[in-house]
Order: sequence, then structure tokens, then C-alpha cells
Amino acid sequence: MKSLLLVLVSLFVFGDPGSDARTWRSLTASRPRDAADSLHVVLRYDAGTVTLGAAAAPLLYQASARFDASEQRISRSYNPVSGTLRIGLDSSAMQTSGHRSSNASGNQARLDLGLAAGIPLDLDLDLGATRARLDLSALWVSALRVSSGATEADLTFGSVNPKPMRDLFVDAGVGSVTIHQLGNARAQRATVASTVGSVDLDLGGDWTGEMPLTMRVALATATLRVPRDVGIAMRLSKRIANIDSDGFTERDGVMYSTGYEQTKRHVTIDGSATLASIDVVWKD
Amino acid sequence: MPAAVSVRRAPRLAIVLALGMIAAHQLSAQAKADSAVSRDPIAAALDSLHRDANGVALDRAAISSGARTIESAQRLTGDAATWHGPLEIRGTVDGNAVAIGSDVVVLPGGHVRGDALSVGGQVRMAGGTVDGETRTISAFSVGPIAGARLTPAQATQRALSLAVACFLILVAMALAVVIGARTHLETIASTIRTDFWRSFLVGLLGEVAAVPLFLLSMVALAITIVGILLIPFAAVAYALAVLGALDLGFLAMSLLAGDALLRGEGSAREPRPIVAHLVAGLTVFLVLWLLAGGAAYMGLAGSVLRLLAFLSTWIAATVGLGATILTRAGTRAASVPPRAAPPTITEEYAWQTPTPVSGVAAARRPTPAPRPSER
Repeated sequence: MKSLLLVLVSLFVFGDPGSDARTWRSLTASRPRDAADSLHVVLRYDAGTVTLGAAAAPLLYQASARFDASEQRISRSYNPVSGTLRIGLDSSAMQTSGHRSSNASGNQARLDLGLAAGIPLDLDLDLGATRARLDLSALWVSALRVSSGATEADLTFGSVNPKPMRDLFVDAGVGSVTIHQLGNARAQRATVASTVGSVDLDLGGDWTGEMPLTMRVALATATLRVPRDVGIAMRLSKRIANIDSDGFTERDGVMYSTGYEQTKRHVTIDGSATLASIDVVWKD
Repeated sequence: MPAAVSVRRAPRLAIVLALGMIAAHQLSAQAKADSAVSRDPIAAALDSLHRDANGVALDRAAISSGARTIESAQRLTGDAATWHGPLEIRGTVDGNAVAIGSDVVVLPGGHVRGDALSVGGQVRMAGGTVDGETRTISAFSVGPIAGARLTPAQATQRALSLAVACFLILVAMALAVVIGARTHLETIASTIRTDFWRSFLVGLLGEVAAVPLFLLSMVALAITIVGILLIPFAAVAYALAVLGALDLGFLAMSLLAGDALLRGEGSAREPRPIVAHLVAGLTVFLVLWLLAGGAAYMGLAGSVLRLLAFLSTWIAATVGLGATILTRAGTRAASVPPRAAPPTITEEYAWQTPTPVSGVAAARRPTPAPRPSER
């Protein structure tokens, strides 16, 4: 019996061939911009690190990826007629061979994507369990949809969007999302959602007038970093939610920040907060 | 005694035989794949590129071995490709320019209307233009030439280690159950022995009802505000309860399997060595899964073995779950429905007919107690 157990334990300890079978590959791809006047990007990335930024001048896009060919597939296609670039890493592609992507592969996989500046970009990003650094500075983003699972995402609008963004939607899922200088996005409609995650929104940036913002947070925490010259009007349906309301006054079910009427820039926040905590941090 | 020894050695012998058979098969499969690549590497490379989303479909005729130059006055209709040699383009290529194991160099005046692709090299833009995509892949990533997929031997090794890992976990659980809940385990095993089909049906019902019951309880909790707070805890508790019931039931089935396997040895010693019987029972399932894991590449035979292993495990888990439910996790004996009993003789006349049931004592007619006046 003892020898049998010894054989089995040895088989178990020395049996996993995962690390030996891991086969890393790298891929680079770029395309000249030519006559393209817009770009729709569909990014599906389910494990590892993904970065997004501006591409070098004559290029429509440039991608650089590192992946484990034994467990992952990188896919990429461009349709010049519709102006759509589809790119992504799929770790489920190899599941038919009887094994799933290991954490080690997922953590070390990487995609760096650069997109052309100066043309309107419609970005549709679906992120699984990733670390995402999305620097949208210098890009003209006409629409942005970010849907994530357990992602740690960091979005930066470092410069003013050349034209107002049609729609901005960020769903943090169970992960965390930090958005820097959201005001620079000039979003006509912005929605930020989080379930069992955390959201950190910096409403700074070079913007004027009104900024509509919809927040849907459940079992989550949200921090709003607001410039002092911005007035906030908050109409949130609350269920066991803790909203930091110091300095706010309530009128007709709407909470107004102190001096709301005197400020020239206004943020109107609506939506819902369930079992959530929302903090407002004023910044100079 | 020799019979007992051979019974004890049977699982070990089965495992050794299974491993030997699997190893032989996997080695031959691996050798077959390797020889296909070495026989015609260009065909293997073309096949890989064709199947790769980042590759390209190339005609064999477009490939030339070694260095190749498309001269400035030259215009090539179709693709240009090289095998282990640089591809220099000074003229025009209407299709794709591909270098396998080397660089694509687009020199001044060079024009590629399609994509420029290098596998294992670089695409160098040295004054020319590429209309399509410029792409490099460090190595093949699809097919036998890639060496990316787990080889049959590696996949088998992984399946075997998975089976062994499950076995070791179950053995650890079995030890814990024997220490802490031996009587519960025995009760469940006894219920399975006496009421197998009822246990199976109850287990089946339990499996079918598990998810709806979970959803219902979550909805019920969500109705109230306090209940919402309890949802995460209730979900975890429910999952643990279901897994625990499955585990306890499966161990009870394994104990019965071990009893059957070691019946000869067990009858000699009383009480029987329960740990040895449990491990023997679990080994039966282990052997099934080892065979199934090793036969992954044996076509129909492999599928049949996997199905057999799955069905055996599922039936065992279902029956065990049913018995666990019936005995409330072994805390009480299952209530067996009363069977139609043979008509019994009433007490009044029992004395008239001595039988093995009522005994010879019934032969004496009961007499009433004497009255005080008669004493």
C-alpha cells in the first residue's frame, strides 16, 4: 500500500507538464492609414495585460502581442470596407484539448495596441481578467464602451477630445476602474457601472457647461474626485447606500453641492446605489 | 493466503499495466507527428500558416528555398515566398510577400500590394511600401510544426496527474471522515446496501433539484433587506453542503466497493480495517480514470473508456447523494417502507400452533389468573 501511494504521489508531483509545454510567441502587426477616415475597434482580451495608446503617425494601427501558443490564440483581422479592426486574445481556444489556460500564462500574456490619432475611433473593449492601461490622450474617441470582468483598468483622458464623445459606457464588473480627467472626454452621455468592484472617477479636465453622468453601483465603492469650481447635482436612488453628503443640501429629492448655483460647470449625477458607498472628494 | 495476497496486489498490477499500455501508445503517436513534420517541413509550415488566424494561405509553387529578390523591373502576379532565405523586394508583388525563417526587406521602389509577413524574422521597410499589413510572428503557433499544443504524452501525463490528484484529495477526505464521522459513513453505506435503487432515485432528484432549490432560496432571501445581506453566506453554505453530501455519499460507495474487493480479507478480521477498504474502493475509480485519461487518443476505445469512467463515477455519486439525503447525512437510518408481511396468527390462538416463530412456549394455553377465593 505504501509503495502504491508513493508511486501515485510521484506521478502527481512530477506529472504536470504545463510549464514544459508553454510556448511563448510574439506577434507584431501594423497597417498604413492610407485613406481610412475612421476606425471601429473591437477588442476582446481575457487574460494578461493590455495597453492602448496612440500609434506612430502614418499608421492606422500597430499591435504587439505576446502569448502562450499552447493555451492561447491571438486573433486579428481588419475589414477595410467597414473600417473595423478586431483583435483579441482568447484563452478558451485550447479548451478542446482538455486543459484550460493556466494563471501563469494569463498573467504573462500581453497586448500593446496603438491607434491612429486624428480620426474618429469607436472603441468596443471587452476585458476579462486583465490589467488594462488605456491612455486615450491624443486620440479622437467618438464612442467608448468598456466591459470588464475582474479587470484592474486605468483610463486616462490626458487631452481634450477633439469633438464631443457620443457615448461613454464603462462597466467595471467585479474589478476596479480608475478614470483620470473624465472631463476631457467631453462625453454627451456617460455611464459608469460597478458590481462588487470599485470605481475612482476624476471629473477633472478641460470642460465647460454640463456633464451628465449616470452611475450604477451595487456592493461597490465609488469615489468622485471633483474640482472645486464644479457644482454637483445628485439624484440617486439609494438602497442601504452610504453617500458622503457633507456640504450637500437636499431639495426636491436632489442633493446639491454648496454653491451649486454660483459655479459655471455642473455635473448632474443620476442612477442608483445599492449596498454601496459613494465618496465625494474635492480637489484644487 | 495466496488468494488474499493476489487480491491485495490487483490494483497495483492494474495501474502498472495501464501506465505501460498508455506510455507505449503515446510514444508511437508522438513519433508519428514528429515524422510528419520532418518528412515535409514546408508542407507542415504551409499548413500551419493556413490554419493560423495571423498567417496566410500560400501556394506551394510560390515558395522558393533560400534567398530571393524581386528585381525593380519585375512585377510578380500572386505571392512571393521564401523558405529560410531573405526575400528582397525592389519591384512589385501583387500578392503577399512572405519569408519563413528569414526577413522580408522592402527596398526603394519595392511595392507589396498585399501583406508582408515574416515568420521567425523581421519585415524591414527600407524605402518601399506595403499596402496591406506588415506582420511578424516569432514562430509557428498552429499545428505539429509549432510544437505548441501539448503532445499526446504530455496531455496524457496531465490527465493522469489530475486523476491522481483527485484520488489523493479523496483519500485525505476519507481519513477525515473516518476520524470524525465513521458512524455516519457506515449508516450511509448500510442504506446503500439495503436500498440501492431508492438511493439512486433520491440522488437523481437531488441533483435535478439542486440548482432550482438554490435559486429559490436566493430569491427568498432577496425579498427582504436582511436576507440580501445573507445571500453571499447562504450561497457558500449551500455549495459546501451539496459538495459535502456528494463527497460523503461517494465515500460511502467507495467503502462498499472496497468491501466487495477485499471481502476475503475483511471477513477474517472484525471490525474490518475501514481505511484500507475505503482506499481500495477509491482505487477502483482511480484505475478507471487512469485508463480513461491514458486512452484520450485511442479513438472510439478511448471514448468508451471515458464514458465508462464517467458513468461509474456519476452513478456512485448519485447513489451516495441519495443515501446521504435519506439518512440526513448519516444521522439517522433511512425509513424503509414496510413490506407486505405474511399474515400472523393472532395471540388468542397462537398457543394452538407451535411454530418456529411463536416458539414452543405457545403450546401452553394461557390461563386466567386465579381468583382470590380460589387460592
